[in-house]
Amino acid sequence: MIPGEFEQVVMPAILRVGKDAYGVTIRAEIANRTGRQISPGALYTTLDRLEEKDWLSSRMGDPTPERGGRAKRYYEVTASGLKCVSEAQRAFRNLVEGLAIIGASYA
Amino acid sequence: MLKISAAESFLSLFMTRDRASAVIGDLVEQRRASLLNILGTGASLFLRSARAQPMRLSLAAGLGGILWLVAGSIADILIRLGFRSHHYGDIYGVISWSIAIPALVGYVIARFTKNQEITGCMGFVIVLAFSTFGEAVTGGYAWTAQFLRSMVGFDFGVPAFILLVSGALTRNRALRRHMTHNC
Repeated sequence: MIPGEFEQVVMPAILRVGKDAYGVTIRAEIANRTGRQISPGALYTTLDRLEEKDWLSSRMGDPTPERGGRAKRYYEVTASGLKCVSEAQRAFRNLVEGLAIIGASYA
Repeated sequence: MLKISAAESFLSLFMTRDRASAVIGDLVEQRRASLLNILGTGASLFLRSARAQPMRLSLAAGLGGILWLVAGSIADILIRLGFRSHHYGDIYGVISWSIAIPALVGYVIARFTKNQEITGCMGFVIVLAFSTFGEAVTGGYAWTAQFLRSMVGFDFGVPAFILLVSGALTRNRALRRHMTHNC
């Protein structure tokens, strides 16, 4: 099963952030890497959906004062999620392989 | 503090309490806990969960029904204050369209600008405005109610209309088919 376009952005962002992946850091990573300012609603609905598909798992952290005493929910890509990301990446590579894009050729 | 707690309770309608708390915590940490963000996030989550869980649509139908009762009560009060029946229709026609038309314009603009927050909010407002206020005009003065009757041949009520519009908004073909056959 190939993940949707936005799901293909969210899962690698979580992998990049690593153990500290929660709403704020995931959003920041996406903004830094892609330049996309995504809305909170879009992010949380996608995170929920990915969890339902078993591509993500989550756990609650400890409450912190800068969040008004609220806990963070940390996300992690599961083994099946990782498989989906690599399949999507492979499909993309197959699609663009040999094409001259932005002055460079994909190997 | 009260606003944040209320926002957390609002989001709890669409997700578990600990998840809602985490979302609000994220918004507070980013200093983005504005009314628009909270409502938009709630609306997005509502539409998302409505797609997966028809039970949420029943909740929307219930809310629509409550608003319908409130609108009906206001209409009763207006009649008691001396408004004649055609005024009653005019007033509710104006209320209905003055909410629905700006919401519709907002929805179209938000769709083009790809602002999911506003799209979600406006979609929700459109559903409520068209169904609740339109149907509140029980005498059939509202164009919306007349349109519905001409479309389906009978008045099938607020809940069914909300279900249908919600289904259209969620763009879930299977759910729409289910609702069309069962309402």
